Amino acid sequence: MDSKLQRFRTMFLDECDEHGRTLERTLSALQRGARHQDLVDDAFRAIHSIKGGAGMFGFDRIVPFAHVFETALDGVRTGRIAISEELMTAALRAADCLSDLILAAAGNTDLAAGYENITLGNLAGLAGIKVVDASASCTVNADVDRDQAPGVTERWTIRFHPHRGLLKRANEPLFMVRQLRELGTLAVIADLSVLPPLALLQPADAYLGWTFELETARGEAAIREVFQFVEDDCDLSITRAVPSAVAPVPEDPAVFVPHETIAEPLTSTIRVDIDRIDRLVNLAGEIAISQALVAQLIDQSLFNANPRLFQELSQLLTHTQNLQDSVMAIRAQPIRTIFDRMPRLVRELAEQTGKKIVLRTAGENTEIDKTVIEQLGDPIMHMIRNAAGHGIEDSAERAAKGKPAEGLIRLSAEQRGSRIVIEIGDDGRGIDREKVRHKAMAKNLISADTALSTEDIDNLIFLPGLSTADKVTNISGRGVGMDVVKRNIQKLGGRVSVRSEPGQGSTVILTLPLTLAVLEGMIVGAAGESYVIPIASIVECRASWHKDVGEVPGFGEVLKVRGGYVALIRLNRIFGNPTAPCKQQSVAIIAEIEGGGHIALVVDEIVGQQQVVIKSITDNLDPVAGIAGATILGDGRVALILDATEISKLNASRTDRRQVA
Amino acid sequence: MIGKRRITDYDDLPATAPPPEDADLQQFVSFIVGDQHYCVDIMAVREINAWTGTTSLPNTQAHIRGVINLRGTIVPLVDLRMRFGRGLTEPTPAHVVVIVAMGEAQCGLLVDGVSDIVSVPRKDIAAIPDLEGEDRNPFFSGLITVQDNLMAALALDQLVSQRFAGPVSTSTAA
Repeated sequence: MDSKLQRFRTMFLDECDEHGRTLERTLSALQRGARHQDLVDDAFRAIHSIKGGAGMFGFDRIVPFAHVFETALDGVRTGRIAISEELMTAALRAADCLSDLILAAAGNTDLAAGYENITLGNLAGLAGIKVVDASASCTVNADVDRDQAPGVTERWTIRFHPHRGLLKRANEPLFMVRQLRELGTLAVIADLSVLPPLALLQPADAYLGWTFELETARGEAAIREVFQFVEDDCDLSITRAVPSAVAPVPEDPAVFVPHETIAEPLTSTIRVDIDRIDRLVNLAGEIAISQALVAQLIDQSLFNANPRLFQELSQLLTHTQNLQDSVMAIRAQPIRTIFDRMPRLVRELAEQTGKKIVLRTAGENTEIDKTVIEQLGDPIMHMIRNAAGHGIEDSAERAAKGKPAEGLIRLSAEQRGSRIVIEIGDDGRGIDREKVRHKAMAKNLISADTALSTEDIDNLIFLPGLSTADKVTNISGRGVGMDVVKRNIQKLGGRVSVRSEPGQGSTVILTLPLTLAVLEGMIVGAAGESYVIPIASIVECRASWHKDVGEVPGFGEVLKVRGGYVALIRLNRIFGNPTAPCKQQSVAIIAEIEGGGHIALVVDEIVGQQQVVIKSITDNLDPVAGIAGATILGDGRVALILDATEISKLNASRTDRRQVA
Repeated sequence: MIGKRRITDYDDLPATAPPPEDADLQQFVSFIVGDQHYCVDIMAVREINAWTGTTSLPNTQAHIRGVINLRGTIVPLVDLRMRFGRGLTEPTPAHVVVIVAMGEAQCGLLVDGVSDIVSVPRKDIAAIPDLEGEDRNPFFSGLITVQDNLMAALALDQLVSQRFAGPVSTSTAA
């Protein structure tokens, strides 16, 4: 296959992904009882596009399936088939199945032959469609139209693919096209997919195929007649489309249609290589830095001499800021891309557990950086599994508690300031605190006399190795869950917490930065340099800390923080001279480290707070202990970004060495 | 035999592919550290800048002066004087940073000044003599004589491919 066709196929498969999400969205809404013509129309268009593209690129397994699906939806669209929850549930299953077929077509998975038959039969049965031969061709007719009287205008789709030798037997396709045109209104789409390069072209061979959309009152026999002499020399399929009161269905936009039936442009988007965008993001960051540098270099006297300079410079500042925001916005995507995958998961989980579960989502249009989105799918899926597996009770238990039989999982996203908050909640049994506590003690994660607030206990679920499910199921209970979720979210610069009410359910809250390219940082001074501490990891800053310091032999200094003690690390000493004095005005910054602990970092001063562009230092050198990356400050100087967890480890290794010595 | 060119004579600089008659010539950028001349293969040199300050990297070897901002890329800076064990350079704006590339990675070399570009026949590059009972000095790939000046050619892969951070310097630990 030549590369161009390959590219179009890839594009088609990409588009299928989008269409699949549309189907999911519209059908779920319909299943939940929404009755909106737009929803049906959107679903129909999506499936129609999939079918059209699949036919064009020869995905023969998708076409018959999509065709039945399309017929069913068309029935709903025109009101011939009554919409019901049952039907929509079947349609949703069919949409899941269709996306599996598409994945298989893309070569990602193998599907057993007949995989789709049950789902398809189910849908067809409910929609009252007779599947004539789902695997061979798309000759499927709606039962209701079977006995339609001749003389009524019908739409026909005729796929005509001559064999190579057709022309040698003195057949002329053009005549057939003309004859078809005499039958009624005709639209012709040529298929050039097997057309070889000019050098390889045999002039006497037939390479072109056509798809005809014909509106005629003359019936199938009249159409067959046109092709009667060539039937043995071509692949021919003649399909009756369901007559509809509505205007002709928009054609697939990827096909050139010589009439005016071009689909409305749904969205005006372009696909851009992510590397190009990253380059743009970087450049915008550089411009912002350069312009800050220029502003610093311009002397006050210059401003006095030329007042407009100041004006123009602030204009430039606004523009660069806008530029940066706009560039960041390119990378942003609605979180819908993840949320739309979840209804299917919930359906499957409900089936596996035998529970009744409804998923309610909100804030799907919240936009977040693409990189963040890519890494959010798994954690969210994991927490939904948890909610279905641990949280929500089975119907009998729920009934006994006086709760509605259907369990509810809520998934929502919203932007608060420069962060995105995602909540995954359920109305299940909540965290069993006693059980968690015992489990944690049994696994030696806490000691028996540890005093813990209810909040502390709830947050124990993020410790490695803790799972309270009595049985390991394939849904949850392996105890490798929440700690991994927490680590992954922290890697994205985010935080996780849980809120739980016994008997009322629990909610996991993720807060994430809008983008990974930029970080909200606190600029501090220590050891003669500026460092950046991510705000996300800072719990509090204390100016008067000197009186709360204690020394533990063999461990080092500790700081008393709210009744507990945390390791005190003087940045001056760990990064510079180990005996350096601490300035009187130094500040202790309490930062959270991986695993939920805290450390106190002593710095000389707090310089300020700002958004910084994150740069990698490992492009050109080995990782440096305690340093997560670097950024470039307004004066063009490099400032290192601290990693509290690594500094804590560095401190521990220093202390060990001192003990040995 | 030895060609000598001014660094400003751009017309004299080799095109990307050296002319055939130069096939057995190798070109070097020479520079000064202390009172010694050194040189590095010109193909490794990306640019030459004035020193503008560094941000120090904590707990790295002493010859890593820190990192610099090279148009948005973070590049480490090696103090060559320190690398050769002759103490830290006291850098001034008159000092020069030679940016060299090894594969994908870039690195800055802090030197006292750049002197010249020299072309040397490959056969005239002498090997570093083996000294009895001592390890071969790993920093240099060969010795070159240009107008009676001896200069050592840097073995960048040895000097720099360790990518610097290396073991934490124990001299600053308690």
